[in-house]
Amino acid sequence: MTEAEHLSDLDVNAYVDGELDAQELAQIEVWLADHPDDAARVHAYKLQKLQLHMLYDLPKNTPLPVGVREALANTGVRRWLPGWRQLAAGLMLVAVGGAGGWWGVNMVEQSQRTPGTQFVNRAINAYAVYAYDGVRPVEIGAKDETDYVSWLSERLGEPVRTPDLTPAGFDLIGGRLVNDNGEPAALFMYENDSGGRVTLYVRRGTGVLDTNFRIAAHQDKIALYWSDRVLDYALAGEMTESQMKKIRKTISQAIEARAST
Amino acid sequence: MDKRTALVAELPHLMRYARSLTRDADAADDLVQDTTTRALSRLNLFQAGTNMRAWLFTVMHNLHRQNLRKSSRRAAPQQISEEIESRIAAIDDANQRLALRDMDRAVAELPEEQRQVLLMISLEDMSYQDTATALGIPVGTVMSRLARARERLRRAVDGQNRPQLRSVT
Repeated sequence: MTEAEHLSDLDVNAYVDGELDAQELAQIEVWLADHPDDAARVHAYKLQKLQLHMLYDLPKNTPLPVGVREALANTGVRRWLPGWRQLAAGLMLVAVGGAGGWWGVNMVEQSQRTPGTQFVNRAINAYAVYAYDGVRPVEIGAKDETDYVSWLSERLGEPVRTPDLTPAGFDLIGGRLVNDNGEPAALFMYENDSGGRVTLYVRRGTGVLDTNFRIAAHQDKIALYWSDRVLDYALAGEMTESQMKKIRKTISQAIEARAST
Repeated sequence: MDKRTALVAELPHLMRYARSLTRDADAADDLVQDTTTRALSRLNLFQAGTNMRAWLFTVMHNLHRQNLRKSSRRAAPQQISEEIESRIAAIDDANQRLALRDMDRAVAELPEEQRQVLLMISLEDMSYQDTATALGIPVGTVMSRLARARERLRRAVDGQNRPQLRSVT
């Protein structure tokens, strides 16, 4: 160090970042005292740090992103992993049992513990049964939208409002009444430009779900489920996680917009 | 502190870093969410007593690399975000505002490999060793990337020939 005219890059950076031991630190400080060029560089780097903080520090109490809160609420994927296996069994029963499949699903559900899991499994099953139907995926088409929405609302005993998913590229194409473990539930079907479908399964709120979004998945099917207390919802589809996130974002914005009006 | 609590305590660091790396709040939030989900599912693999921040950054960088590979998610945008612009606009001193805009642009123009190292060390206070671990590169590479990044920033800002900005802490 004594022979060089300037400190090495390594020394300057290590000094600025506190990577030196006490002896090295003391040597550098002595050096800086009579080498203004190097001292200026140290100053510039320290200033950079300060500026980076001014630019990129997040405001205090910045809330965690919604998705992160969901991830924490779900305690990662492990909580619903065992559910997948039972769901797989449920889907097999549907496939094998044909019309009797719903009975099979109930059998499976009775062996499961969390009611939310049962609910979302039924929603994914309903998606699997109806969304692949090329002929009659819905009972009533969207042309009579107000009609069937009010009809389904009446059957559920609560007014249902279907979220607008057009920002995520999905249009409502219709709905049908389905059986939710002996109670009526509504299944709304949405379709995008390329024929991809998602279903929204809605039933009267049962109090077993809260307003946090949760995610469940079975193979390439994924479902987002939550409750607004009055109604329980599960949105299911065959899509990537990023498509689901886009939809989730659309729904949370719709919910926030509704809450603020 | 249990592992989960330690993880939650590091989330603000992940958020700040992800935003400054991707320069896109949505992309950053998605990245942090994916990181959180993956880290929670592998929390049993985290060795108590080792550095949680370094481990989370490792998880995040693996995901980030995968994102870059599989999607056409473009490189970080170079224009200043509204969020940062409004932060700068709130500063009284005009010279300081100019210097900060120059700095943001210079950071945006850094090659990503240099930006990662710079931000982990200068913003997140990670050690050279932890940064090397998180990025899966040798410590020597961390130091040379850091040196190049800081010199580029210094030239970018000095080159504007502006009055020196006083340190305010």
